[in-house]
Amino acid sequence: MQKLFHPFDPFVLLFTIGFSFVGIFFLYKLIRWIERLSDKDTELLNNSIFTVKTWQALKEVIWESLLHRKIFGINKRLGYMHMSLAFGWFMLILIGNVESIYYSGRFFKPIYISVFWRFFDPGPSFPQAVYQPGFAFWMDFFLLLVLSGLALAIIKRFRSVWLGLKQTTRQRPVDRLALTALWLIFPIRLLAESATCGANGTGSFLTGTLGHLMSSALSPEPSFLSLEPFVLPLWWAYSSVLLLFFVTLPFTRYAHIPSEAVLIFLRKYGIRVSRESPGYTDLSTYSCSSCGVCIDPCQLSDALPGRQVQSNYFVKSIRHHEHTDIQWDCMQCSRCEKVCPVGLELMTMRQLSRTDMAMGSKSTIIGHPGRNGQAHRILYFAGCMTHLTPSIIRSMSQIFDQAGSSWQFYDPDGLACCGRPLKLAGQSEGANRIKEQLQADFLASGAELLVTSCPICYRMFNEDYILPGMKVLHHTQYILELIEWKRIRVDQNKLTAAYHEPCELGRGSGVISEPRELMSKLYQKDTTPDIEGLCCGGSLGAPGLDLVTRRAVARGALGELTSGKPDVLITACPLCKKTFGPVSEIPVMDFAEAVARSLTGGSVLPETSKSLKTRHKQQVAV
Amino acid sequence: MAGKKNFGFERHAGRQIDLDHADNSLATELAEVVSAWSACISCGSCAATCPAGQNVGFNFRRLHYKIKLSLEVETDNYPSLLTSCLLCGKCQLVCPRGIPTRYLSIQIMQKTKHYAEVIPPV
Ligand code: SF4
Ligand code: SF4
Ligand code: SF4
Ligand code: SF4
Repeated sequence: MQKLFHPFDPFVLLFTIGFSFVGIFFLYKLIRWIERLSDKDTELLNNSIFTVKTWQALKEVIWESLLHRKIFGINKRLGYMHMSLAFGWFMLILIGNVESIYYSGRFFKPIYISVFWRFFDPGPSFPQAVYQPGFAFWMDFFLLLVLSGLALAIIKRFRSVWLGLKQTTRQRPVDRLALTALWLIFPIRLLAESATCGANGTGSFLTGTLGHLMSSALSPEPSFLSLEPFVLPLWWAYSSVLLLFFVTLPFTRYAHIPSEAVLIFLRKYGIRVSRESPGYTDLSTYSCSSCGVCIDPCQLSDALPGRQVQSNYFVKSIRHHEHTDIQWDCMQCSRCEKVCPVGLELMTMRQLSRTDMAMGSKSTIIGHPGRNGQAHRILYFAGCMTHLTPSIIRSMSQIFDQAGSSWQFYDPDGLACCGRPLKLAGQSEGANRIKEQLQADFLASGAELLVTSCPICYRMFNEDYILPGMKVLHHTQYILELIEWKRIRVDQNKLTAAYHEPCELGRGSGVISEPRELMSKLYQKDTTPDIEGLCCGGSLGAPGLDLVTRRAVARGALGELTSGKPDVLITACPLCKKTFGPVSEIPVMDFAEAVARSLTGGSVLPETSKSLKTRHKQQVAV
Repeated sequence: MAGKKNFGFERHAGRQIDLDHADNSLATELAEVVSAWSACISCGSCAATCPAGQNVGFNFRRLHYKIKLSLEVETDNYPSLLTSCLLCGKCQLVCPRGIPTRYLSIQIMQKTKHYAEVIPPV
């Protein structure tokens, strides 16, 4: 026993206590996460654990948790910061461990021995290793790497712009405590190692040089004052900050370090966020590194300052079971989800955080399948929003007729709902019931193709409905097919136009190239800015937003979209059109309208009377 | 209705608000979470466009109105009827006062859920 714990010094106890605490905490957490998976997810876990997926997950852990490849892709400096801290620290642990095994000849020994190896054995790999790479050199190298990352982290706290972030995250007191501990760990380690090396005349380019400087500063004359008395207190300090960091870790953002690795494995096995698996949702909240990448893309950062709606805060609030109502304000545009380096399913988590009161579950959907007793090849589903922009419906029927399609209008009275608004508001029970009704109705119609004008419906049909033998198209895709098959012909006109990509169509459903191709067929000049699609502000995802905020979002988006001074703004969603309409100074049209105008040879722009324009201006001023 | 003469038409129940018993706590609570609600002019545009209203006897404007007048919503079928709201947001798009009616619907539902549970569905 005595041999097992040799060498020993009381200061190592602090570290050992902290480290054991973290270990026990996460072991408990791991058990709880897995316990609270649904039966289906537990089965997935059992079936995949001994397959190649585990290796793939391991690879991903190295790429993401250690090297932070995704953050690198988003922002180089921020990526370097995360990588240097994580990878550098990992290498210090790894090399320290190898070194201690190499010189002690023991594989199994308490962890503290390898962590504090330099204290117990300041010398054997020196001095020749000072000049030729050896343990001492690499330990110094990775310590320097960590310290450079730390310098960036400190800059980020005070001048985040330099790291490419307009805003950095706001922190809770315990986060600050952990952060302070983390900031202190490596400088103190540097001092402790340098003092040890200085006192023994060893060390490589970093600790050796600094140690030498320290000892000569203390005793300009040899053997006047030695570094020796400073060595032990510095190691005590190092062990204490480690203790502080470890006991705060489970309650702070740093809990993501172990959690993210677990998340990567479970995700690889096919587990996803769902109401049935609260364990996985909890794991997801622990995996958020609070990196803050999601803050700047959020348009509400400008339109609703101070409200802290962004995913970073939202995830924190559910993790700490804080009662807030911010979940009602997010537009679910998924701009944040797209950039989240951890790949969290932020939108599903938002939906689950909204209580399911089974709204919508008492509605009956009335459609008109098989009217005239005759089955048609195409079922046109306008969607309830499109009924508020009737010109889109008129245009679509012109297009269908011109192309000679066999089509049938499913919801001429505008009473059918796809269920997605309910789903977005967390009312999955109601949404499901509506889905069941419509699904059965669609299939009974005998149609082969379902065309919709609303991206919200399109996404719902694609993601949630099971429609064997039936293809679903958004009208932009359908129109492009018609043009390509020469069923209709459109002429390019001389106008300049910009395209606003609806969230649900672009990021949400991956329909990206078709609308852009239509743009090139319709307009000579396309001034669409090269940015990630913006939210118009009308989103159904955010029940809680008031009109003032919505307009602020719309204006912000319009400012960017019209930066190329287009004559007209083209969109592919009735809701976007309706949201931009009152605040835009240039006409806003849907693709369907633009194509129908081209077919009928009418004016290429809708008539905006002067009075309408001045009214726009007045409203913009309000 | 024994003892009452049948004049060939029905009479409404009294519409006065009984100020001694009126409980406007629901209206006050709602006004706190959806402040824009105070701008409602009871124009009825919301009810006119409402698809749920066409399916079942649910009238969104009337519901607002009743809550505002502190009429006892729980004795009606209203909270229960509200579960037919599709949260489609059409009412919000047509509302001339820009009231977030969709959120209002969610909030009424949340605050009256306990009534909905005891009242059988329509
Ligand atoms: S949600 Fe994702 S992007 Fe946002 S702070 Fe967390 S990890 Fe970073
Ligand atoms: S989904 Fe959109 S509105 Fe919501 S937090 Fe993310 S970026 Fe902001
Ligand atoms: S449309 Fe708006 S203003 Fe009119 S009754 Fe409905 S909520 Fe009130
Ligand atoms: S959100 Fe509800 S109340 Fe409003 S129109 Fe849709 S179904 Fe009617």
